[in-house]
Amino acid sequence: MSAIPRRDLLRGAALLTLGGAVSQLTLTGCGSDDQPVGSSKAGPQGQVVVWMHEEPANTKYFNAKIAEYQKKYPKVTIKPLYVPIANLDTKLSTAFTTGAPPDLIKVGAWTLAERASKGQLAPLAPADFGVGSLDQLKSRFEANAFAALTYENQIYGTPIDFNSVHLWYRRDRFEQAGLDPDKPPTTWEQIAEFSQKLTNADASKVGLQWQLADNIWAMLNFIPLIHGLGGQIIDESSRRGMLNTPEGIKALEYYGSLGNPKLSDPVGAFGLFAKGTSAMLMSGRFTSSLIPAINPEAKLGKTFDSAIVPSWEGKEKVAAGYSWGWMVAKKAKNPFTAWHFINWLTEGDNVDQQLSATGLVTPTAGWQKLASASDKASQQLEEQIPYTDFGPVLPQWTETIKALLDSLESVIHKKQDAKTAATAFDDAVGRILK
Amino acid sequence: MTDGIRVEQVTKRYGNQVLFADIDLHVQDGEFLVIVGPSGCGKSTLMRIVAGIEPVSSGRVTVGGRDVTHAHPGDRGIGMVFQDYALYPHLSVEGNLAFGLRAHHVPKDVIRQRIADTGEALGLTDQLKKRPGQLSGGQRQRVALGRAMIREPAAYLMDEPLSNLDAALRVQMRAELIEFHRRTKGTVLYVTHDQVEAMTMGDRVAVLNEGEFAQIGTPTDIYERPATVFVATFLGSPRMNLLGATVRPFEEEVELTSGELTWRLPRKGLPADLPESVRIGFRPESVHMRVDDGTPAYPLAATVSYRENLGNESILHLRDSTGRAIVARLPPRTGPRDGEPATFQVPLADLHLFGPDGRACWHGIELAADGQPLPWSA
Amino acid sequence: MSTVEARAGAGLAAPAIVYFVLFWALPALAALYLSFTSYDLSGTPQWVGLDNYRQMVTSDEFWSSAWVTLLYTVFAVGPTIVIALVVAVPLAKPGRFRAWLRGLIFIPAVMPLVGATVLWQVIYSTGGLADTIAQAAGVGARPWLTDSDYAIWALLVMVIWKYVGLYVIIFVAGLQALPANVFEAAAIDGARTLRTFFLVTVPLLRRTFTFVIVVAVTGAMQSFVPAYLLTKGGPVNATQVLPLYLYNNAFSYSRFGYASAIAIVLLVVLLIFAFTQFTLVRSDEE
Repeated sequence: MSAIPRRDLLRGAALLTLGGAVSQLTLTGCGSDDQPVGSSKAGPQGQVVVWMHEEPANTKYFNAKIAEYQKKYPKVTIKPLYVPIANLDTKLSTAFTTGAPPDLIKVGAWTLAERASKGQLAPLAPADFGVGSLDQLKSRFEANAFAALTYENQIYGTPIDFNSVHLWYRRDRFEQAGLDPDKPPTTWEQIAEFSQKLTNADASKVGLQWQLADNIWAMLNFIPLIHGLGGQIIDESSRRGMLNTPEGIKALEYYGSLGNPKLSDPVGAFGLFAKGTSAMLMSGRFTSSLIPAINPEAKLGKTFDSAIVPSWEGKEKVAAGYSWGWMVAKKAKNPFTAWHFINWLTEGDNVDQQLSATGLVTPTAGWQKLASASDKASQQLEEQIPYTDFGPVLPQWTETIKALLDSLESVIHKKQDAKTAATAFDDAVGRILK
Repeated sequence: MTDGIRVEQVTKRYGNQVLFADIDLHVQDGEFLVIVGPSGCGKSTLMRIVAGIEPVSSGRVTVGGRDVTHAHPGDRGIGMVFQDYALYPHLSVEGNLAFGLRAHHVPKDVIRQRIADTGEALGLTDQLKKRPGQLSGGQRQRVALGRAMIREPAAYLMDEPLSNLDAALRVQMRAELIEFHRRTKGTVLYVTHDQVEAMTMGDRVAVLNEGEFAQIGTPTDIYERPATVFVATFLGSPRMNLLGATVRPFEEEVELTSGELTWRLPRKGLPADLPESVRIGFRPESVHMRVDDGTPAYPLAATVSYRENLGNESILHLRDSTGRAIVARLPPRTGPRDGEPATFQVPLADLHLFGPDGRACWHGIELAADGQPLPWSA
Repeated sequence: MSTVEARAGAGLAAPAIVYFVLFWALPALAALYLSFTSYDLSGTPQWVGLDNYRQMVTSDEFWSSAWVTLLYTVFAVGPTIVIALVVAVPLAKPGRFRAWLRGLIFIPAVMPLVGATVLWQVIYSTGGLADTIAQAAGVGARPWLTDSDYAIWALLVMVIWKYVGLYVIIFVAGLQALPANVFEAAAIDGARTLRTFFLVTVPLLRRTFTFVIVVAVTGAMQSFVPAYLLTKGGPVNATQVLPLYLYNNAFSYSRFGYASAIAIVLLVVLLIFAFTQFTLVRSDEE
């Protein structure tokens, strides 16, 4: 009898401590072969386990779509699991580590590189989509739709909940400050100027308020500033932090000069904007429905409005965006059926239905012409897509962006000057990416 | 210090339940008064009212002539000894003794001197640095007594202080407490359910039953002239024999009939309004083997059901001809064998008569006090 | 000892041993091993020797987190215990109204932390209840959660509010188990409320204190959920307690080796603390 290698035993024990997934351990390597597995020849069949985060409107829509799909393809069973958003990534990590991941997942694209680098995800195969090449698949979507889903030249997911951040502003606050609400600022210089006019003496009311204290939003607010100046956060080829550059420092200084970081609201910058405490906000398309949900008195087009992302004077526009993605686990038992289902979700008027029911954009080509995309914010999103940047695609994304957040917070809270904070970030990146 | 402890018209209620109403008690200066009674009779509560741990519902309490009804327990001039010692477990013997003095801001050198004196008086000198947990039960009780003594109170309250000790130690501590009282001449209010303690320690005994004092008197008084059936049966072990009887005048005498038994008492000395139906009581030690010496006597024929040999005496459980149980206490190795019929007798002077309300109407000892010859009964 | 007895003894001890090995010794050993490796949950851990520890002691973020944890522990445990005890003494006495109050004060302890945190975010928001109270008190509105000098104290107030009820209940149980006679003896000895509290109640509660301090300190040193939920460790990491730093490294950055090294340091500190505390009590009893 050969003894279990000590190292493996310890690893198992570590998972007990760290993941708490005791039952999952026993499932490892016990893949059942009794289910029929779909293929392009046999058609979709068998079971697909799908995990995503819990969100009431989406859960309702998705359950209805599963029923519809299963009616059409009776040999398929889709088993969804809705996880609270704060637990999703940890739960997935545990499931992947113990070797029993779901077949299909919906996660933020910024976590894709980490999962792909660990070999957890299967790259897209043209056959699963009934196409001859991936270019054929890509042509069904917006040009930039796969930027956030590509790691080391391999595509690992299809886009869902696609967003580009633009400017939101309070018409009422503009009018009070003597600014024309039909002429929102178009440059960062104007934003600064407007902000000054919109800020009162004790800064209890401000102009633009950044989305503070949050990883992804820190990045989404900062990218247009630094990329718009021609700089970048990190150089992906040399894996070096690039904040300690003239562009980086200027962007940091600008970031630190706007808003009041001491303002506090349970729903953060959204809440401040909804109440009119701040007059401008950098956010996505969903903001149009979120703000009235927080404050029913705030009416789109009347109290608040949206505009294209500003640019630096004389420079090109850069927007920041994010996407979520559908991804299939490398160990998935039924990848064909999983992708068949996702593909079906983009067919017919499903994209239109999804957008009106859940507000989630699937950027199929021509999506902007759908009835549900006729609103201003959707059109602005569509306009921005070509120059939208999705940030670095890095396995160490979370840690890198936390370092960026730390530096941004240090500057805006006046704990460090821009130069020191920039150096701290570049040092941190050196450590993280070494 | 004068006047000891007075409890005047004290009532204690818990919600609607009245524990006792308008009760009075006077412990004279220098007196050792024992309250005895069954559990739940209110004796501990009464003591706690005197201590100030329980508030009165109404009435007045004085200690040393001072009204302390609403005074803080620490300001009543009392020292208390608890059943389970209630020592401060985290303090040394010294610390326990000094606690009350410190609370009253007694100067340090005085405290030191008093600890030394008290320690010596109670034989605790070698134990002063120890914690209560390191002491024996007797030593702990001495510390508890010392803690009460050291403040030189106007009165002592002792709440069943010996009941946690084993039998041998209890006898020893009983003697020590009697000695302590003789030496200090302190006023002591002592609560116990143990009749031996009541009889041996008290200058006077107060028998408390269901919130009322059934009798207050000297131990002898209470034993020889129990005021009620309750007092008669509560004190004395085994308990007093009680037999129902009917009363009928018979010439110059009074005839009592109980089953097949008949007694005749001289009318003189008996109350005139003796009820028709009474209970006749006599203590087990009053039952003797019949001695046929020619004196007039009423024999008691009975059979021994079983006996308890206690070494120094024998307790005989008898049945008379009508099947009634009678207990007799005889010297060891005397009396008939089990199952054997025999004849007993009880001196008339040892009889007690109780009316239907449970109150005593006559005690045979009155005959002796009258200088009458003592005829035998039954 | 006979073989039968030995076997029976081993049999009876087996569940405890299995439990200890499976749920304590093995995970602890695994964490110790991982602390000398670089491991991201994929592939096998790579042995890196003392690298993680070296990185730890040179990391400003680690030391800042350690300092925040120290502050958090001292100022969560101290006031919680003092407040809990002061509240528990009157509440320990019998009575229906007191039982009702005991139930009331326990409510925060059974409230889900997520809900409680949202409540406090509303309280602390600009113009919220905390600002209203501070203005009424003449202090003026403050950026409770958004200023790195205030956030830790705001967090502590929430944490104390959340857990004080639990310790009140523990103290009430401890107080109710104390011999009533000793307090009566103290009253007869002339001790009033304060003297009784400091010279009788507090020393008699020594065992409860030990228990409460060990539970509270180990709890505080391992606690990260309140900070995670209320402030996400910010602003500028001002509320990033060590366990949150550990959590971020493990589950956000997949740096399980480094996180394990932090866990080992925490474990050692906690063991030293608990051991010292229990040793002190034992020596006190002898």
